[in-house]
Amino acid sequence: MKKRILQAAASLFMAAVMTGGCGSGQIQEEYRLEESNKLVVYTSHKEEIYGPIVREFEERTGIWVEVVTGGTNDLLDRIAGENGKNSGDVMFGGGVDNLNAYAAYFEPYVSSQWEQLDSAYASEDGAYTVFSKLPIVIAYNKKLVISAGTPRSWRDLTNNHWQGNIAFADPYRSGSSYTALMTMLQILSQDMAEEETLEAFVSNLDGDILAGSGEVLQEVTAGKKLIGITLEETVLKEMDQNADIGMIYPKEGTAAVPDGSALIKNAPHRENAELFIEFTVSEDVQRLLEDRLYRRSVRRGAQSTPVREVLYDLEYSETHREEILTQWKELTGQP
Amino acid sequence: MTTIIRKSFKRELFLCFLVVALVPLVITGCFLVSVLKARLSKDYEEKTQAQLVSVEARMTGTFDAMEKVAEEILADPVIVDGITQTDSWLKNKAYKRLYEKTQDLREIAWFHVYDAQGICSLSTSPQGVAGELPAYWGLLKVARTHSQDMILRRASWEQGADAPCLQGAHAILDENEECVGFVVVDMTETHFETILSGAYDEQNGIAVLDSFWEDVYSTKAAKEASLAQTLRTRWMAGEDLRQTTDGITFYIAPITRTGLYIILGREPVFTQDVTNMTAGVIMIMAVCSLLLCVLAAGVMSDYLTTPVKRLTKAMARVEEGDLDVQIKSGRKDELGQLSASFDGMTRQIKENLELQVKQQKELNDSNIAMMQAQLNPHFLYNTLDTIKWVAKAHHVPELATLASGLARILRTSISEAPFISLSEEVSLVCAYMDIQKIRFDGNFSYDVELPLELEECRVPKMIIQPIVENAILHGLKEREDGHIFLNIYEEEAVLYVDVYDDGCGMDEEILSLLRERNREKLKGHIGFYNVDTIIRLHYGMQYGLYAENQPGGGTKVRITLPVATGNLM
Repeated sequence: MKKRILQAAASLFMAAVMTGGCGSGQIQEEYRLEESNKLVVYTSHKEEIYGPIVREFEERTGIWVEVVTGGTNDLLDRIAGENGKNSGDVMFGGGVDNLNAYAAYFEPYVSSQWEQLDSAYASEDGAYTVFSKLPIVIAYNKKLVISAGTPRSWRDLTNNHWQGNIAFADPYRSGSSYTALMTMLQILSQDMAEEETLEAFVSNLDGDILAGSGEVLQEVTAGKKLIGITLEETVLKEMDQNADIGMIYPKEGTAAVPDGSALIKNAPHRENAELFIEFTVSEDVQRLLEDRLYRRSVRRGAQSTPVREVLYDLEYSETHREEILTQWKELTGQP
Repeated sequence: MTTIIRKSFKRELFLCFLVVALVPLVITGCFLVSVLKARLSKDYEEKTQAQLVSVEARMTGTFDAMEKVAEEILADPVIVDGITQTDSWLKNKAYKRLYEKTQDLREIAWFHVYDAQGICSLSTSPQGVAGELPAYWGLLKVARTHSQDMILRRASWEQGADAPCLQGAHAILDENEECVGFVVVDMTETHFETILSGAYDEQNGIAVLDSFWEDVYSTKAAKEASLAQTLRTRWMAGEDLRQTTDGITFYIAPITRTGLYIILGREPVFTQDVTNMTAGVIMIMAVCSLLLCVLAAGVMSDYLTTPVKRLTKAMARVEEGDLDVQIKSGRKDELGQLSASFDGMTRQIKENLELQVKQQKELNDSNIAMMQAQLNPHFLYNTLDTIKWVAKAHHVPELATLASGLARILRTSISEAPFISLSEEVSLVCAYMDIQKIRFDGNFSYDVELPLELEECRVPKMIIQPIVENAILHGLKEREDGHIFLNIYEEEAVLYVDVYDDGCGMDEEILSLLRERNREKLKGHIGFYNVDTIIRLHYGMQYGLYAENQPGGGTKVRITLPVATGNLM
């Protein structure tokens, strides 16, 4: 009997709680995202690059984009780890050399606009699609170096006149720094042996090697170094704000290794991913790169002032990476 | 547990009180809380919905007004001419018109006029001409393709406190339907604050989202709760937008014709604090009633058990025989009545007992008086003596024998002494046998063997006569010259009195009844049983009466008893 009374009391209580708990169905059922309207983008770009592009893509296509950000190598490792399961759809960003190294995890895709694109660094099997070109340049502080006294060429950088005045990031840690180093070696290889160039350059650095590529321009603007070797994009952006920074394209030419996008294998939203890749090389996006984002378009006949380009030997730089870096280590005496 | 509780009246009462006090308390408490909760939620729900409607109405009104102004601007040839005008006087005229048109809305938006390439030409912004917008991209591109409407987009290019967060654009077409420029409207956070001030409750977070649920404008509360990001993340992950963990209730409403959404996030009315407090109050009340229960159980059980204990004690005294016990409870309830009944009962018992004793005493007194009133036996003896002498004088010896025998028997049986000497008992038996001899016409003879030393031995009176009577009446019935032999002797301090007859003997049935001492079935032989009983009562179970048939015919009845001399009583 006692038990039955308790049960009755309990049910009464539950009823009271239920009547108190309802009455808040504020979110209507119509707000439901269709899986076919979705895209997951892994990107190593900064927000200022991917933000406008992703937003414009959403508005033009009606596809909702989930952005996953991270460093190039972290994201590529993640893609390799996921190996086509529960992964993203597109890898947006990362140098083509990096993307090529992970080609096994990408679905071959050739853009319908490939004819309009610069083919110099095009992927042979369509593992990636190029996005923007990033030439390596020399920046200098106008307050400290008159324009007549600036270095003109790669060769000048090996001249001991600049000893202790060059801002350069550790090629171990910075991908662009390694590319800059290899570009210099490649260009100067006609006149000087690799070891010789390396030795001369390292002695010019005077043992002061920066931890990251972001610090190069900081050192130059702060006047701690006179010149710095870094990407054109960074320098152009700084020049927009700071009139005291100047930029030199070395007269032998420079490498403009592009970054790219790649379709991840077994992408859950493959059609949307293809649309996105097409969009990244579209006229509007490429124009925006040059207009607003300080980058060079990969489309043929782009507007920006042409620069003398040398073809960077991707294969050589990849295969000799260990060897060069070991030499670097020995010369700089880095741990 | 149950047994522990059952052992004490106090604990039983306590448990009972506890259930009666706590269960209604808890049920009512919970009921009240949930009813209150439901009511409050409903009120807040309605209030919030009303807020959402008012915010939406204000936004829609603002956008409608903006569109109207934008349409007026693009229809004004002076302003449109001003786009390409380099003549400063004409430019001033265009500006004047622009300020005129926008004066009502200047507090809530900045108006710009861009040329077809996206370069700003006229502006009401205090910061001056705003620079350029890509005409092939985003806002201006859409405005160009949808040239009849004002297009609203989240502003993307500038950052900072005074940067616009929402931009609207309306294309300006010439007579050939060619786009010659754009009217662009910028809204900053300050503008939103001005528009929305007073339309919502400060503690609610309000966010304006674009069609892809990116944050356009958030109030401080919404920013702190990162409403927009949370919702978009959940939306993208395909999760339920409203989740039980976040405690915030979302309300979403689209703003008509703009593709924008308003989100209102409300903190729960019943916060954890309120719930905890209510639970605390209920707990305190429960503890109070617990204490009250303990107190009440103590008082109540004392009130109930005290009279019961007094009753138990009084009963114990009654058991010991004390009938003077009185409880004298002053109470009027059932227990008082019980005590009063007990008092009445003991009083009644006492009275009854006294009455009984009194009656018994009266009876004894009357017995004595009656005995005193009996005929004086000496008169009987003297009369029998006179009969004897008269018989002798008239030579009737039998009559003399009868009279003297009867007198002797009478004297012994009437005397009050229970024990007599063996010689007296034997002479009584002889007198009896003499009388019976005359009655049965001398049909039997008898012998008595009594050793001299046993003559003074004391025995209960009248123990041999019933045996002899039985032998004469039953054993020697229908016999001519029967013989009775009375043999008395002593062996090892035991007195044996054997009564032999040479009659027909006893039935085996009667012998076995005698052996079993069955009084019920010994009717007609009650004399045997009485003798046996008297001896056993006086001397113990090892003494008594034994009867057996003689092998040559006749019966032998033996009386055993201890040899005792002197006056036993």
